[in-house]
Amino acid sequence: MPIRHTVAARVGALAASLADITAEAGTSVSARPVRSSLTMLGAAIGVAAFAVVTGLTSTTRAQVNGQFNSLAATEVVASDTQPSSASLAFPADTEQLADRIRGVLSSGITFQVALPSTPGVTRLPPAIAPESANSVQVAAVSPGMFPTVQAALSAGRAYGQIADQRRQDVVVLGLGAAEQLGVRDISVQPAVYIDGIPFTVIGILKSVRREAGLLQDAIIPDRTALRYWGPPDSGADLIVATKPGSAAVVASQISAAILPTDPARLAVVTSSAPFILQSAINSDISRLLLLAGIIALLIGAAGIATVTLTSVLERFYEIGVRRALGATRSTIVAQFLTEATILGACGGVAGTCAAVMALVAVSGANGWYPVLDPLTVIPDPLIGAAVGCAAGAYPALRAARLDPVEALGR
Amino acid sequence: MTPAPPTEDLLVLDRAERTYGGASPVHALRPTTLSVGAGDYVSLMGRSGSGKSTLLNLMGLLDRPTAGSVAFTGTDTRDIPDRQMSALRASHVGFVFQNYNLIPHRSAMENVALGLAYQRVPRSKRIPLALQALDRVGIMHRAAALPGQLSGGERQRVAIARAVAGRPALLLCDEPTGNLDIANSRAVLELLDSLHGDGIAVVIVTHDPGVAARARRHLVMADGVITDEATRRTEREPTDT
Repeated sequence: MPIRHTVAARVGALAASLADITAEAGTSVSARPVRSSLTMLGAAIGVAAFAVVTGLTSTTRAQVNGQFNSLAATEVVASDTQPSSASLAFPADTEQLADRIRGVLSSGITFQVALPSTPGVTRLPPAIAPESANSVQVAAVSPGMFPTVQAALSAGRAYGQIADQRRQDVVVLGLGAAEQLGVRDISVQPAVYIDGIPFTVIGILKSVRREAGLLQDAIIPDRTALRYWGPPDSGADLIVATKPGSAAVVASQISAAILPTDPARLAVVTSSAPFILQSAINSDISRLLLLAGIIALLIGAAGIATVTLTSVLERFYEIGVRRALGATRSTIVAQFLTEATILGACGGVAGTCAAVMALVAVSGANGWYPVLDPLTVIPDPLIGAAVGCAAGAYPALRAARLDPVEALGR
Repeated sequence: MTPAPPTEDLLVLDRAERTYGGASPVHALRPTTLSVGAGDYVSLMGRSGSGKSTLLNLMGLLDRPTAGSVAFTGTDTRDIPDRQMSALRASHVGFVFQNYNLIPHRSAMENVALGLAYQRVPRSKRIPLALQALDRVGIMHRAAALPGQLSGGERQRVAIARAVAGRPALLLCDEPTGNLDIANSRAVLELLDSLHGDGIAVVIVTHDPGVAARARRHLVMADGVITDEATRRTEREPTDT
């Protein structure tokens, strides 16, 4: 049918034109290897910088997520909103009640003990030798708190249910507290004095994953604290460690499980703060690095534009000859645009390769696990081509507007 | 044997003029009426600045007149779009320049084929036609050489081959022997004579009276005006150039 033939003929002619233009552009690019290499270098640097920063974004995000995800959505905190001087909100079997909830790994009660004397914790009996002030606070925690905060001890052990039930006068010193009090060797069962009461040091806490303040505290059984100083004025908290993704479910059940007669007394929160902080950090990192990458790309584009324009200015006579031979303005535009696009694409490929190698090297040097999002790497050569094409637009139009008579005269 | 005089007009200039603007306009070509027939052989002489190149550019559709008209094969080119102008130029006009103007990074064959590409000749036919043209000008054995590897005379032959590969109706030559020695000049001129014998209309711009004498029509220009026109009616006598 005539229309089909016309369309097919036009498509064929267009394809042939594109093939010719591409061949001409490729030949021109390869005929000037040094200049082409320098032009590609600009694109390569721009694309490499862009790819490196996007890769760094993924890598650093993975590092941040790796730190946060182990804690995110795995913690529930139930706080007493009505502290009483008579008793704690939490019953004696709170840990057992919480552990029955599906998704709970462990739980522990914690509260700060307000001591009347200062310093409240001393190495020697206060009556014998007054000591200089220290910042050691006393934290009363139930035995389940240690696995809940994923405590690691550098010496000794933590106390268990028996010590808590018997209200024993034992203490686990946080690493900072131990240093302030000068306790290093617990094999001789040293003692510290809390409000003048001797407590045997049975362990030194080296690290925790939650409640980092414990590292500066003297940690005693909660029931021991209640025996000596009664319930805290500020109330107590129940820290619950959950399986990943179970925090919301546990949070919805914990109050009723612990205080079925007065669940509203407990204020329950999940750890959304890490999410918020994580998102903020990722967002800030992403924006900053993306901006740097875009700037690098623009610099590369400027390089391509400059060299392409210089090439046009130097090839006036060639443009004139082509026009004399019958090249249209659009053909000239297409040729120079194609040249710039080829240079940008080749630079993009080279830049992508360089970026991958750089990212692996940087990650290796920092002990990171390199993370490359395929969606940010695979398009990079195309980005280089697009940058080249955009950068070559003005030089190409400049070439097309050239008067053939003027061009031949140069 | 001298070819028969041209019968139909290939190119008609009707009071065509070209003025370059600016604070002090330059009348490079004053109103000129001229026709070139198919198969004609025209020489154009004049001092530098007389308007020869301007007239040649209008003839070759490289430029448009600021007034008047230029009709090529019956088509008034005053208002046609650039694309159509380029197509006319590609298919009907061949250029031979004093400086050869070959693409330096393309071989002789590729230079010739370039013109065919702009004529939209299918790829499969370009190389055979290019080789045919190179053979016609006697330089097929140098088809793979780059312009930098060719002598001046060889480069001009390649330029002529490029100009005639598409079998144009009109061949415009701007000082084609200007950069050649005597021997090469003679060879190039004999080649142009031969191409004219094949039916191509030739317009040659030259400073050399001996070169001009080879043409059938002689135009002399000064200050943008054709001041003299003569037509040789007798059979051309051998000339030394």
